[in-house]
Amino acid sequence: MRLSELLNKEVIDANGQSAGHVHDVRVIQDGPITSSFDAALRVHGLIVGRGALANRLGYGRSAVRGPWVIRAVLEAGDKPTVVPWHRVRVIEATRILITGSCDDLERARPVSDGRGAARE
Amino acid sequence: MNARVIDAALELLDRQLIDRDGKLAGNVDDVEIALPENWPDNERGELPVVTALLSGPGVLAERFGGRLGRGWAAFYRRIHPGTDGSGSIPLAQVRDIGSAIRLAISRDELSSTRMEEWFRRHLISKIPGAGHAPE
Repeated sequence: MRLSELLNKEVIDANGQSAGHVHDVRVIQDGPITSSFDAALRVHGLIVGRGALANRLGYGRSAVRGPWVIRAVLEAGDKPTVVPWHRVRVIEATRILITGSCDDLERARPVSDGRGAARE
Repeated sequence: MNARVIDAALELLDRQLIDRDGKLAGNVDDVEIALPENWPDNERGELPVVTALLSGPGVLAERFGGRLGRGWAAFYRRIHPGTDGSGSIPLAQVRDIGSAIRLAISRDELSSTRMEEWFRRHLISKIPGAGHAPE
């Protein structure tokens, strides 16, 4: 599977309700140790929502703070949420089906910039 | 222990690749992800793993999709019959992920740089003074 096969797809919950579109895929370097790259990168979840545009532009990262006007406008809409990977059940051509309700999804927390970011 | 968190589209896609000699080696056009065995019914709850960075005109064409992607792929196949121009860089060959992505291999080992070589050989080198262009 490729990253591009996940991006921009609409996420639908078990009730048929839309949670928004996939704007990013959150990976964490916490997998098995490899020979030359420390720990493997594992996919933990999908960053989903209409407001995820702010995240794509870097405003979801704590190190990006300005210009504050742009940040305020981008973050005024729906806040991006995280779909934990264990809730992903089916990947279709244009949609991704998940278990449970999209009302249960947690807000995507910003990652601190780069190395040593706290694990979610 | 803190583990590094990466938003893959933001921090990997379209990033510059730099080879072991400090030479530009293309961009990340897509990322390969391996699903766990028997997903989504994997009982051990294993997560997908990023296995490789993908680079090259063929990969980019697939990512574009539509007419633009098909046209780009057809052009590449015309000048390089028998290959789709996909270059897969195993994550084991990645040394560092930052504002650019540093590799442990030479750009000459990547099939994804063939189109650039073709343009250099057939077009750029024909331009008067091209022999003095910097690497």
